[in-house]
Amino acid sequence: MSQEIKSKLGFPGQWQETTLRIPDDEPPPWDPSYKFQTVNKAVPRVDAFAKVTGRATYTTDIRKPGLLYGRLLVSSHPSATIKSIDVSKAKALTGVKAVIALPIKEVRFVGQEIAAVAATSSQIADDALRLIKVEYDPRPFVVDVETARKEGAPLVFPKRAAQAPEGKSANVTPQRITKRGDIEAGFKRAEHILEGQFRTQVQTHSCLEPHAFTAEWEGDQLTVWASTQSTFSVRDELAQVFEISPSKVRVFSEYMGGGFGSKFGARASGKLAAMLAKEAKAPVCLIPSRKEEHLTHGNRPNSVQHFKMGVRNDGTITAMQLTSYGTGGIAGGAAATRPMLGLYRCPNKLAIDEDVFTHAGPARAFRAPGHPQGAFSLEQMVDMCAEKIGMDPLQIRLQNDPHTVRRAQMELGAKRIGWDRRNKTPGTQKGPIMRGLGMASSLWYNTGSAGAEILVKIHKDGRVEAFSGGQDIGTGIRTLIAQVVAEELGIPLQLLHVHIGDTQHPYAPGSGGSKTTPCVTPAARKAAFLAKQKLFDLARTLLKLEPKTPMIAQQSRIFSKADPKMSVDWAQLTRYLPNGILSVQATRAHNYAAYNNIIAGVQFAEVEVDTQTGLIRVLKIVAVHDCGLVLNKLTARSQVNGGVIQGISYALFEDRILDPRTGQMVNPNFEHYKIAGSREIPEIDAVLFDVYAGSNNTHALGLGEPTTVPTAAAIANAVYNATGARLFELPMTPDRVLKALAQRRSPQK
Amino acid sequence: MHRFEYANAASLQAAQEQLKADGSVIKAGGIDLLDLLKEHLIQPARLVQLKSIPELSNVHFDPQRGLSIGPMLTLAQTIQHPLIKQHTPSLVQAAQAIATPQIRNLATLGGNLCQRPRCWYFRSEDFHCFKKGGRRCFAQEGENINHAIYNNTLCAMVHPSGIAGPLVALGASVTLLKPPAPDRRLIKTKPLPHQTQTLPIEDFFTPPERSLLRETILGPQDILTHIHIPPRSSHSRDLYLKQKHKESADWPLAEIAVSAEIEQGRCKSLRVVLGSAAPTPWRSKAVEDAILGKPLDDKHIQQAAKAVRQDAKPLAQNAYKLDLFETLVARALHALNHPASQGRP
Ligand SMILES: Cc1cc2nc3c(=O)[nH]c(=O)nc-3n(C[C@H](O)[C@H](O)[C@H](O)COP(=O)(O)OP(=O)(O)OC[C@H]3O[C@@H](n4cnc5c(N)ncnc54)[C@H](O)[C@@H]3O)c2cc1C
Repeated sequence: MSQEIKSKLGFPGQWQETTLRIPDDEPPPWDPSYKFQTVNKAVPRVDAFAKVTGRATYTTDIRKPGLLYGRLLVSSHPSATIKSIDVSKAKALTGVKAVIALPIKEVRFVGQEIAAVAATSSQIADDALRLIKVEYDPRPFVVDVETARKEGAPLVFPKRAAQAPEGKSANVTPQRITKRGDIEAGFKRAEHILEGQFRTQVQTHSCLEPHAFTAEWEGDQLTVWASTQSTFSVRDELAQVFEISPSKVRVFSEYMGGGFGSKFGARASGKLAAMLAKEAKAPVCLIPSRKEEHLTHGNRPNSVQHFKMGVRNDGTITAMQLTSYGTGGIAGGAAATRPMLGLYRCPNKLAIDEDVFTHAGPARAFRAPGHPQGAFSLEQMVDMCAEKIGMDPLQIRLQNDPHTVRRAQMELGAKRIGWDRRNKTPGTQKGPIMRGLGMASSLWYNTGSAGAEILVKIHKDGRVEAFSGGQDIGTGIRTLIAQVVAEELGIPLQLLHVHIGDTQHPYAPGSGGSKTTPCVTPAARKAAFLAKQKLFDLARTLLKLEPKTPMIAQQSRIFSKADPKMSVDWAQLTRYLPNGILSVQATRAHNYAAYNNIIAGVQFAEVEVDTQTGLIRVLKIVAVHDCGLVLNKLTARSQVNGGVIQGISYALFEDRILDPRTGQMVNPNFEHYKIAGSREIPEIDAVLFDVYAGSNNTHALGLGEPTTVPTAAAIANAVYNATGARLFELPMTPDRVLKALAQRRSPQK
Repeated sequence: MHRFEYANAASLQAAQEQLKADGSVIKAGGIDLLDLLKEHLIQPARLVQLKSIPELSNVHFDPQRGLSIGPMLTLAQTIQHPLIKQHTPSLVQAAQAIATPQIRNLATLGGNLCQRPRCWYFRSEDFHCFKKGGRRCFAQEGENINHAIYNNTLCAMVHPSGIAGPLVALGASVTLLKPPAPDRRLIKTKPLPHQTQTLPIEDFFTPPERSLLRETILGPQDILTHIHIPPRSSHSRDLYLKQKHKESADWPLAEIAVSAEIEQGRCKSLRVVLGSAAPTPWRSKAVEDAILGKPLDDKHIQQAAKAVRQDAKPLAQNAYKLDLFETLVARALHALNHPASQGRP
């Protein structure tokens, strides 16, 4: 059933021979000596042309005969009991085809879905919303994390009242505590103990394509076009809601415009689209407004972090202690402790964190949940330790970081940014413009797992189709499937046609945890590998070779390994396919004993600070990241670019601002919710670092999330290196920079 | 969005006729109107489009009377216009710094001057503030990082127009076309003629203590028809600087427009106007007095820059603006004497 193979894993300078146990029908992971034709190259996306010409159809582009436009009515109160909802006037409006009021009694945040309408135009739907009369009985509320923690604060979930931790509000969840080693002993061994209090803001996902759904019923068969990062989760949730078999629900997501963790499941807008369509007996397209996107469709929780770190004069970090809390509104998920638990050799660690409920929209997973927050504190603390003992920040990291990949990445990145140029004494340039360099590390996990399936069909004209029910969150999975199948079959990419985003195709997992590539591409390779074995049989028959004669598929030819002249062209061979088609479906195997299951990453930032206006300009980011074997150098670079851009935006601009007196968001738009634009984007030097990881047959690990983790921390460290003023709070806005500079000039204040 | 009628005005007379009906509103580029409509802040019965009146975007220059500019000139046209470039660089600098190319292609000078405030409380239907007939200013005790530091006790909005500052600094005036005065004659022969009114642009903008519900003296049927900029001497310099948080399409944190006559390294006359500082374009007499007649050297410039702090009453979150204005004043005054610096640090 399974075989043992010897595999050379690692990266140049760090090879190691590992014995892997792999299933019998699996191709062994590629050997480092293997010469790639298509994989590991810079291959433009197969759907690039469709996207840039506007031909790619996103959910918001779906047009059906008789399509109705859905709109949401959301709560305008942060906390209230709903006494009544009167939809009669809305129903009576000409053009309105369905109105649904959700059976809710309480609202807990501004933006909570209450009702929805479908009408023949979006204007009529809008008018109808304004005719729905909701009678609220407003209740006390709290949107500020500090106030929410205090005893006596208005409770988000009054039922939790009895569960209040000692001296705190019942809005606070029980502490999660993780201990490693002996923290007290660690601090005793330290020669210096440093402390810092860090704050990060709430960031909303701000996907350019909203959480759109189009739903259509035919009898009890439901078809949904969804902007989703998990087609199958949308299918299963809707099947459950409507109490029908998943086989009766079909979800399409051919193209989607950004998810970042906020687009799992059908949730209220998906359900409401399907409910409206059912009631109206017509297809309904429901597109939330930008305001609703900000309020309702997810965010990254804020954090308040108290960090304590012990260090010895020789650079050894002896103890790390992080106490943190944050609010994900009515949801949890605010922990910022994973980077400090995962990075650095330090044996003594204590992490304590709690969630705080507030009357605000629920957090959702957001690109590396908890990590950018945690890296912001941890990586500044490491720099503070280095400064205290007079050590270079690069040196202290090299010394305390056991990860061979990250250490190599640090050396490489330091060369590329010109680390020698950093200020030996921060804040001593003449000004007013000061320049500085900073760095920060990241970690992520091997989230690849078994189960994804791919169907490959080889046609008699030599064309090949591959099918996956999963979606492309933007990482380019359509292209990667094509590359891997083309590589395995030894044919050009142009012969491939990949179909994705349809739950009638084979299963693929949701795109979360940076798992799509490591889950899906091994299934693609395996399906192609198994199909190839059948083609080899056919070729041997045609060439009159002994069964089992070793064969090779390369450059559109199938030939005998021993005698390459015994060869048949791809086009010729496929013509002989029995019934004109060969179909093979394969399933991704379990993970093997990998070279590394922790993904590394390090970024270096160069910044310029105008010390009179507090304005930070990022001049350059060198981002060195690994994702196992880089299957496509272009799409991988896009992930790094995207992660860095989102990281800069988080570092300097984005901030969901809630008015404490009304609970309303004052900037639910893209005008005052600021996102880095083209002029804010520096030179990004994306350095991709190939690792033969060996945990699956394509060596793929994830990349999407870690790329955004260290950016804000690296920028903060660079600002310090420039100015000598440390920024403990995100975003690093001019007012905060000016305040930090003033603090540095007269520390007593 | 509310439904309305859309009328293209063929001439000024036609526009005046079309504006007579209740609920009629002038439309220029429509950039600001669209945002107000979408948020249900206005519900006009009719939009009267002035872009169809060619003479409203004329520009001409007369050595005696100076520059005359039609209010329908777009920001993009302003940036390109040779006469404006030649005579009033600060207006070009201001127009260039506004929003995005798409917006500048539509937005007009007149619309920019008459746009409503960008205060986030004003702009949201959910806040019934003074400016909408409500009973409070939410910014006073709320989120006021972008708000006014001068004259902010009643309403803490900042004036949104980037074009206004340079015009005030340049001593511009505007001409309005108003409906006829009420006809009190016993025997009505011919209809009364429409009236025009020309006034200094400073008097065109009204502070909250004069009117909370609007920001200009414009009546509902008044049309802004001309912007006049008096002729300038060979010693005149003018410039505009804008400090944004984000370079791409962002509103300013602080702006300054300066116009001066420089002789032998000193300002013979000077106007300093701060933008994003107060509910109206804010002329800083304190700065003007501090530098007038003094040498434009570092010492005097620093002193004058400090004078922005006089009369300022920052709110809880916006004291940083004092630093920004101090810096902008210093950079602008320095640039008067060193044009090549263009106000860069
Ligand atoms: C993203 C973004 C960023 C922006 N950044 C800036 C910025 O940094 N600085 C800045 O100054 N502006 C900025 N703006 C605002 C923009 O410049 C203004 O909305 C625009 O100039 C308005 O001009 P308009 O021609 O479109 O006016 P309209 O929207 O057509 O009209 C605005 C108002 O003026 C009235 N009006 C227009 N013409 C006349 C006339 N001749 N007589 C009487 N009344 C008239 C209209 O009735 C209306 O009330 C920004 C806008 C956006 C969307």
